[in-house]
Amino acid sequence: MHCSVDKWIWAFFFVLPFMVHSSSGKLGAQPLIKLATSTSTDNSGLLKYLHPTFERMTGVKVHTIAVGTGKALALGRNGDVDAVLVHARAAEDKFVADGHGVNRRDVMANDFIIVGPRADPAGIRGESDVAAALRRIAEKKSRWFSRGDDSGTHKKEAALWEAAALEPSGRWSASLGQGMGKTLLAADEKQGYTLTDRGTYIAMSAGKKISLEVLVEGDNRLSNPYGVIAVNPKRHPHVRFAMAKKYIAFLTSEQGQLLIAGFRMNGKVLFYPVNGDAPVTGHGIREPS
Amino acid sequence: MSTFILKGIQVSFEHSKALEIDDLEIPVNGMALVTGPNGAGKTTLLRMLAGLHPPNRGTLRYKGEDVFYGRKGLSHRRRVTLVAQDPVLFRKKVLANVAFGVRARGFKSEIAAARALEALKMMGCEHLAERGASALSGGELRRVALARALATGAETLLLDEPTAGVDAENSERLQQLIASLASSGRGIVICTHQPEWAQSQAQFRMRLDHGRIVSVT
Amino acid sequence: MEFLLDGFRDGILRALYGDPQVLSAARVTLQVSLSSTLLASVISLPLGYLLATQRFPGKGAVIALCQTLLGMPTVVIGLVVYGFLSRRGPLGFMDLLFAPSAIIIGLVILLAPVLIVFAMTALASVDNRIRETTLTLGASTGLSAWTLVLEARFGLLAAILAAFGRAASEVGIAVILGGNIEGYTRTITTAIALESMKGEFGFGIALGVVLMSVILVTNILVRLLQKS
Repeated sequence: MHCSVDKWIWAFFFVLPFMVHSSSGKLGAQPLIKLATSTSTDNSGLLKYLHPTFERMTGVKVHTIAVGTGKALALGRNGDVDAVLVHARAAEDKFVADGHGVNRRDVMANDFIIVGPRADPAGIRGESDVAAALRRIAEKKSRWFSRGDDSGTHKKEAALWEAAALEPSGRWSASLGQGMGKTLLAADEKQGYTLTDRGTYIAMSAGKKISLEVLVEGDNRLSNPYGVIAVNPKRHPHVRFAMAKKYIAFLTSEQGQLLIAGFRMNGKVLFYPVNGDAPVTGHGIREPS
Repeated sequence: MSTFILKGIQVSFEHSKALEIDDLEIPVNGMALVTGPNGAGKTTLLRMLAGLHPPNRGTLRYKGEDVFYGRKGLSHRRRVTLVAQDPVLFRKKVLANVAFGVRARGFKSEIAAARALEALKMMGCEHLAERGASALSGGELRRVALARALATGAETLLLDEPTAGVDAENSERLQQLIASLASSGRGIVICTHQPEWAQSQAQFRMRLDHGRIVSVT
Repeated sequence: MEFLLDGFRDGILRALYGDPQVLSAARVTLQVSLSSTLLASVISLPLGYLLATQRFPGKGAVIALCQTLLGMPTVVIGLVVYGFLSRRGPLGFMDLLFAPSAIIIGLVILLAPVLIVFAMTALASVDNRIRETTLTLGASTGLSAWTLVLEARFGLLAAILAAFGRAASEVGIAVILGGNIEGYTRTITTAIALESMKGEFGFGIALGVVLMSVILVTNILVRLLQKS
């Protein structure tokens, strides 16, 4: 009696680790691609909603590695992933120009917004010029929270401060080195301003996790286009280029674009599809009211 | 020749000499008694005889064979066993402790258990067989340790202060038992600084002080 | 506190009803931490034995090195191993990155010094009369060594359980080397990190409770084995 129980416990310790190991099959069993992407796309739930269709259609499994845009591109440069889905147009172009990636396609866009406390101490509510809004925040030394993590959003923020001919420095601004969700929570906690993609903001405020309000939106410079790029097989011969191309084709296909357009979180549209090869215009993309 | 033969032996620890014996023969049929005050080198002598601590200089022969230490000393250690002054038991039941030496000689566990039980009976502590080693009194521990040495079947037993810390009644019993072992043909070498009880029974007596032989009778 | 309690209640319910995400995270956690503990034990316990029983030149340096490595941040181990496993690194051709095996490699490196140091301490604390006792009772040097290990079994087991707990509760290595891929390399801890990033604090805490249950059950099973 004692002995048979023992056997099961021993089995638990020595067989289980290897059993699950083989069942989760590293390669061989099912073809897969590794996709590095920004946290905003993954946290929104969009990829979880898109990928089952792709996997059903092609039999290719997508392993999503959600990191900041900067790190996603670094993983692509090192050849550790097969494709990247990111949002930092200038960095993407450089990635392609340097020969790290090929077949770049626009996929979708949403927009950035500046959010802040209801009281709006800097008085930027409704400002249509984002640079002017940032200048006012700096003048009033209102609290400003920056991602500070080399993500797509962080790169965009840096570009906007440059447009405002200012640098956020001094005690009123804080660089967190955190993801969007944490940055929004910090801004909410301390009643400060921050730049966010609309998707994460909707997700966070719908869950009543934050009470920040949208104060500045609609400036052309706030558009947030997402692009997908295959890692260059000439540089990294091992990448699963054929499957990465399939994935890109799926995202930019009519079906993929319709799926993106149909994605809702709490009844709100988070991403707007763009048509395949056409460049993103993205001027004044807004959520439909 | 049932003897230990020591020639030109020198044992030292960190520059201080613990033992210096030029020429000595210790018979191991019957009982040999080594006496002397604390720190005389008695324990050092026994550990050397047991094949546990090699001398720095000199040769030791047991029944006509050279004594080896370490890996090569296994056969000697199976003929001669030491019960330390301050014995330790393994974290096992008493019976398993006593069976250890039998198991070590490759016997099956049933045989080892039977021999262990026999040895415990001889020591009058078979009732302790199923106890854990940590649940013994000082006197019980000493008797179990002696039983463990007996069970090995080694032909010569080296006993370091076997009756120290044992109450009067049990001490008496131990003395009788040791005497009967000696008369039944086992070699016994006893070290003690309270030699009274063994004086009369020992066929060989020597006295050590400061690592040197004071007297041999 | 209410905002935490809601998420917590929801998370506990999801775990109780066998939510596939929670289950798969628990499975991956068990998989990587059991395998790495097993592998690290096989490598480290003999080394701990050598350090506890043998004398050799440079022994002090080896011990000091192990004790220093105990304080190594897991993120640093993750980055160093990433450097080796990345396609740009020397072992890139093995294609191990972003898979459970990558996490296991990182964890083995994390656990090895823990196990070496604790095994050494456990073995060194065994009464040194034990070795002589085994020898004089006629044990071969092999049986003598094995008896020493048995005498230290409680300490050794404690070391292995501590290593398992460290592996199961580790985040940095799992994120960097595993990539936090859902259903594949997402452990309970990386799931907690993700939930906290999304502001789902209550759910994160609930996952923490799930993790502790996993560790608790493992400990109980080990105790059962030990008793028999």
